[in-house]
Amino acid sequence: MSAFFLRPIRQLAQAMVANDSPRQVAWGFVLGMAIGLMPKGNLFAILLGMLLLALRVNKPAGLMGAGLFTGVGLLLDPLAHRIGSLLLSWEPLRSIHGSLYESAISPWLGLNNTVVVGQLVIALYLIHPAFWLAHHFAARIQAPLRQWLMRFRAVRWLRGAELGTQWGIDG
Amino acid sequence: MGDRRVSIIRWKYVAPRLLLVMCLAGLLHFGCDPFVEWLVVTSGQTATGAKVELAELETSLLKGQLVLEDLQVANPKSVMSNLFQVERVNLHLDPLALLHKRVVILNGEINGLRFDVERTSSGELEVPDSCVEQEPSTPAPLFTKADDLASDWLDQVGERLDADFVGQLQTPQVAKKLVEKWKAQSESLRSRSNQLKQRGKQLAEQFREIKKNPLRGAERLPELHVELKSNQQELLALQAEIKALPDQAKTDRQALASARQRDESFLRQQFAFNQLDGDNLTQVLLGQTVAEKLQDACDWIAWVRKKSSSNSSRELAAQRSRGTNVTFGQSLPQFEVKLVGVELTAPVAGHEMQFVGYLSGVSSAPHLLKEPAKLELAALGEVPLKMLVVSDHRGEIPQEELHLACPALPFSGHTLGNAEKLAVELAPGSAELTVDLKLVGNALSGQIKFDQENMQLSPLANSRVNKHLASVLGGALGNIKQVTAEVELAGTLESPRFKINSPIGKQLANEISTAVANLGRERGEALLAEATSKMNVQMEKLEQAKINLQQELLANLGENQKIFEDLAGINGLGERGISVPQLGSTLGRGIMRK
Repeated sequence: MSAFFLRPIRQLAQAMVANDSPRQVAWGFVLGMAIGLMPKGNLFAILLGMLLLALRVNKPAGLMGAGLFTGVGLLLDPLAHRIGSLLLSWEPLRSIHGSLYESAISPWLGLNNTVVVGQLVIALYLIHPAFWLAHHFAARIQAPLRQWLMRFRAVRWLRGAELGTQWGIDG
Repeated sequence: MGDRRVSIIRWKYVAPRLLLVMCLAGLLHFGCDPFVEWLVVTSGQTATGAKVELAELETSLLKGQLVLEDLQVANPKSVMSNLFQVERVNLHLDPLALLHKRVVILNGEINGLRFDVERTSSGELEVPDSCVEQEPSTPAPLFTKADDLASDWLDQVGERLDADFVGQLQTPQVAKKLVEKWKAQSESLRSRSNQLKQRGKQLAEQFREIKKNPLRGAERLPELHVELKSNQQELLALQAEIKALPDQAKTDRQALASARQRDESFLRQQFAFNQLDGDNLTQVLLGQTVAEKLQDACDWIAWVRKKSSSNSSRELAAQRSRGTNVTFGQSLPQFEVKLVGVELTAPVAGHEMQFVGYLSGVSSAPHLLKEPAKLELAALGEVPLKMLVVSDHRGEIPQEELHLACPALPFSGHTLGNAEKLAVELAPGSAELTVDLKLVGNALSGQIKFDQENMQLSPLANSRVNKHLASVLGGALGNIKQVTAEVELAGTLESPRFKINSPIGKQLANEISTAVANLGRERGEALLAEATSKMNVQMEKLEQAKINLQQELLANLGENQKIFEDLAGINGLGERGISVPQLGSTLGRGIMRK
């Protein structure tokens, strides 16, 4: 029961002091960013969520990214709508969109929705800067922060609890 | 540890979820039929407010096939019957459209569709639908009023024909008064005659006493003389009165003749019925049938409109809130029936008829389709009936059209009008029927034409109708060999109105009015003849009684007349009065001998 309530705090600490590499943290953050930007309720958002959970990336970083970019996504909706509209009505891509729509792939993935397409483009555009930033942040901050945090008994205790949970000795 | 290669995929996470997906696929495969069955039953019950039962359902998502066996939808207004039932529904769905979250029926067959079939168990849901209210049909007051007017006319005629007007005739009353007057008069005459006779005897007795003792009775002679004179005058008056009796009979006859004239006038007035209103009669005979059918049709259209509008609103509400869904010029409705063959059995004019046809263009968003929804049916067999229903909800104003044409529609015999009041029975036959109905928005318009030749009408046996009247109605209806009717429809869906133009009402009204007038005249004459006959019998008896009384009284007075004549003879001897010797000689010759 205590594990259930301590889990969010544990995950925050885990993101900072886990043994994941900066690369894993960065990929987790990038996936979280894409999930946050994307409107929910379509197969694309679900697939991204499944990728985050299924791949060996830093999950807490992904969750933080999703939480952060959900708000940003709402602010970017008008821009995303314009980008999506331009792309969906772009004549060279029209036949591809048409066939995707006919085969029912795009409606399920939400790829016929202006905001989904726009946010996807924004997310793709932001992948590299987000990855670079997250990677550098993790590489520079993770080690000193871990040392600093590990001085605290509570963090050690939380880390121990996390390991205990992972090894199946949950109290 | 350094050689151990860590996989990028968290199989510990992926494997159970893959297993879960496989389980879901299995559940979908095996649980699809029960789920769709539940969906059909639940949505059907929500829509109709009555039980929906389905014996079997089979689905094949890959083939896009949906088969329903023995579908029964109960009638919420009559729980012991089905609104409709279908033996088998075989629908071919578009699987690709299903992936687009749309239900598109490409083609299919509906076999064994029947309406209004009796149920073995109640079709009422446990929670009754409070929305279903039994309201009186709107046109009901129109034909009810007409029905009342016609039945009032008939009741009035029946009552008057049944009424015993003899009691109200003056001739029998005058005759009765004369008889009573005669009885009083005869009693008076008889009494006066008897008194006169009595007084004559008393006078004779007094004269006899004077004769026995002339000296003592002489002084009473003047007094007797006066009394004799008085009696003599009364005798003369009585005789004159009796002799005048035949003259009095003439006066009585005149009084009776004038009473008879008044009676004739009275009876003419009583049996002068107003002309039956032909238009009113048309409403009575055809109004109820037309009103019921029209109200049913309007109720159905209103129900269908209510359901279809709610679907559209749901579809609009289902739009995504973020962004816009681009459909690449292919905006399509969530539900669509492209073409479904229909084979159904329905009662038409009292006959079960089989129809085949098709249903097309039914959609939850009609504005997205090029063609309106259509139902076209043609009757199987010898009856050439065709029906086309077009429902166009593509524009802002919804439109419905119904066209039905049949040059020879067989009719089983049925009753026109209210069997409790005024009704006629229409014998079986065939008729030409054309229906053109149009509903634009809420405005109703159209025409129904009905033409039946070689028909037979007969009055419905009703204990309330006078038997003479029933026979007259029979004769009047026998003259009508053709019924044509044209119903003009107007008003709105909520309160439809109609006007029936048909010569049948006027024809019937003329025939019935003429026949009833003749019957009234005959009845009046019969009543008058009956009264006159009774009066004549009474008058004959009265006259005979008068003659008998005259003879009786004159005979009765004859004896006294002799005394009074003898005494009058004495009186005529001189102004001095009667002397005793004269009295003795006179009385000795006549009355004193007795």
